[in-house]
Amino acid sequence: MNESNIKKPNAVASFFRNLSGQTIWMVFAVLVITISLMEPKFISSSNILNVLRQVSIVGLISLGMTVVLIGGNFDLSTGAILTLAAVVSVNIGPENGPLTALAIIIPLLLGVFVGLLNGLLVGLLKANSIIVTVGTQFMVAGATLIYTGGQHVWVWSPTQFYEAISGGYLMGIPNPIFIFLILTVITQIILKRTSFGRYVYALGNNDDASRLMGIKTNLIRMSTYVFSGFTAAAAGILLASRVKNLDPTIGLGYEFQALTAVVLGGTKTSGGEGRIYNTLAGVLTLGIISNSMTLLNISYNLQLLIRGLILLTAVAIDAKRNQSVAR
Amino acid sequence: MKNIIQKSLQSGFVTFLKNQKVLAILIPLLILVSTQSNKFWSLYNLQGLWVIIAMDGIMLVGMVMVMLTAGLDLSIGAIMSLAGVICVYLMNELGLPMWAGILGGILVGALGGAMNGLFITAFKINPFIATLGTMITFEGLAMTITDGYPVVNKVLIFSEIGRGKLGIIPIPAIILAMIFTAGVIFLHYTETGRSIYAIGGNEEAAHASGIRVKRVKFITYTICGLTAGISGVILASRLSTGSPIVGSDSALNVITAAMLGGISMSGGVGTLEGAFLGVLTMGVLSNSFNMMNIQAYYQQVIKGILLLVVIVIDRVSANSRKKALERTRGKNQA
Repeated sequence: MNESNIKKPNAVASFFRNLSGQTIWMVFAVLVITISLMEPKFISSSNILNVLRQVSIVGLISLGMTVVLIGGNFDLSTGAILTLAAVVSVNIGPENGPLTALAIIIPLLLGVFVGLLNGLLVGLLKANSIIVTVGTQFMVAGATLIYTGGQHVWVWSPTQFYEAISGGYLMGIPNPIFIFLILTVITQIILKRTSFGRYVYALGNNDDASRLMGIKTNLIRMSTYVFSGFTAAAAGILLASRVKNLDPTIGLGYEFQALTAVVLGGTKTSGGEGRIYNTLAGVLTLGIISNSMTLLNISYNLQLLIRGLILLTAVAIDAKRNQSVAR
Repeated sequence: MKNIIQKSLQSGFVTFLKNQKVLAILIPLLILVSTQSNKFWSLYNLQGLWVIIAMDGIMLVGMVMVMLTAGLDLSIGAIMSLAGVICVYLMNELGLPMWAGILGGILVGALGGAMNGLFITAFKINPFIATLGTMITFEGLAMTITDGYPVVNKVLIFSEIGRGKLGIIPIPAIILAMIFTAGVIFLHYTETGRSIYAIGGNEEAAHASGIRVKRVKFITYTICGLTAGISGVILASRLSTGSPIVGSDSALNVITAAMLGGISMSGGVGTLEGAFLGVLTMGVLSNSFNMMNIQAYYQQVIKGILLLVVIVIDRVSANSRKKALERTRGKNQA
């Protein structure tokens, strides 16, 4: 076999990879332009901030989801973790300083704990991560319902700090957007500038090879789930601070939105490839699609259907891309 | 050839052991529930129990075929809801005759399954991800059709399918018996059925030996959707409603039951008969929870834990199978 024969498929592969790297931003740009032409209300600064604020919750989950996916796994328990974190946070009753601190720390610890459990099960057993995290999702969602007795939980007069988590502004920009963007940058640094990040990519590319190279694969895999649990819990606290009167099933389904955003952003479902900034584009694209569907008065149920179709399309593109790389 | 015989003997043995395992849960459970409540063996309760078992048992037939090829179908709950909704919608909103409604519901199920099969075989999408995507899409479709509300059935005779009895046996249980028998015959005595096992055992070897892998896989997903459609129609008949969210727990229940009954997620291992014991156990379990007045929320947690436990058992026995296989290979070489 001569050199050109080997090079050719690589060129095709990298072409597709680069294309997919930019497509989501192109799709995003085209969408923004089209929608602004159709609906001038869309580009008002209040609507833009509104969209950004809305996506910050899905966005946070998507960060953890991206890391888990790059490592070659899935985490479908994040919606349940988000709900648990939100419910516990509100139920602690952040009405004075110490309680506010607890209402932030305890949910985050819970998220980390569930992440640890996911990581243990998936890491040690090498069981399919989708079905494992569906199991933990059931457990956590059920535990949340038991904890609340199926009733709403609420907090009457939270401290200013707790209110400010989602209600406050910094330089005219809502705090959730800052929280989301800061965590995005941190995740990007973790993935690109630390050895942990490189190990996650290696793990997703080839589990066995990584282990033979001396990478502690189980530990890395567990850490990706812990990170995902952490971001999901953080998203839960954001939601709790905004809504303050929570239904104990409020966050179920967020995991699918996050998964859609991440796959739209070109993260490979088979692992080893993905970029946080493209996830950001995926999150924003989904956000403006949701926003414009609401502006166009499309019913919530039809939106569910459209979201499902978007996920299917994203997954089909992902599979197509994998095949062209394989060829 | 010797290897294949040995392997099939071995898997038969493992399955046998696993059936024993389920019985080790089922029999104490039956004793426990008999002592806790004298109502358990009443005719009324048994009839109710078998109606519940029928819903999951019918879907189990399709799910087992999919799982034997090392696949999975997470969308059956959504297909079930969608089929029920379509069935009731056709009869009540469009005023079509009953047979058209029933046929419509079942066909939608088969179509949904065929769609899964297409995504998995033609687009080569991982079955877990593909059926996750179709699950959300089917759910959204059912919600869109009904605008989020259940559709109420006013055709009284339709309710007889889910609620009626032949003598003392509920009609859903009879339908289950027929579908189950058909499933067993299909798996054991047809070429397609046997190739399902071959694909699960070793897909590449199956392909090399001339089995049309894609076609067989497509058929299993279509059958799986079909059984979910049938189950959905029966459920809609029993509740006299087409609800867009009624099946949301079904996939988890059926998968847990199949694994409890010895079906391995890695494919090729287990029998439909064994898996049926799994569904039986799950049915008795949830029935006894109700008898002992255990809240639905606790049941949800217990089901989640149960799924994780069967995954652990599945992985451990898959590893021991692998080791046993390596050992026999070593002996053959020596």
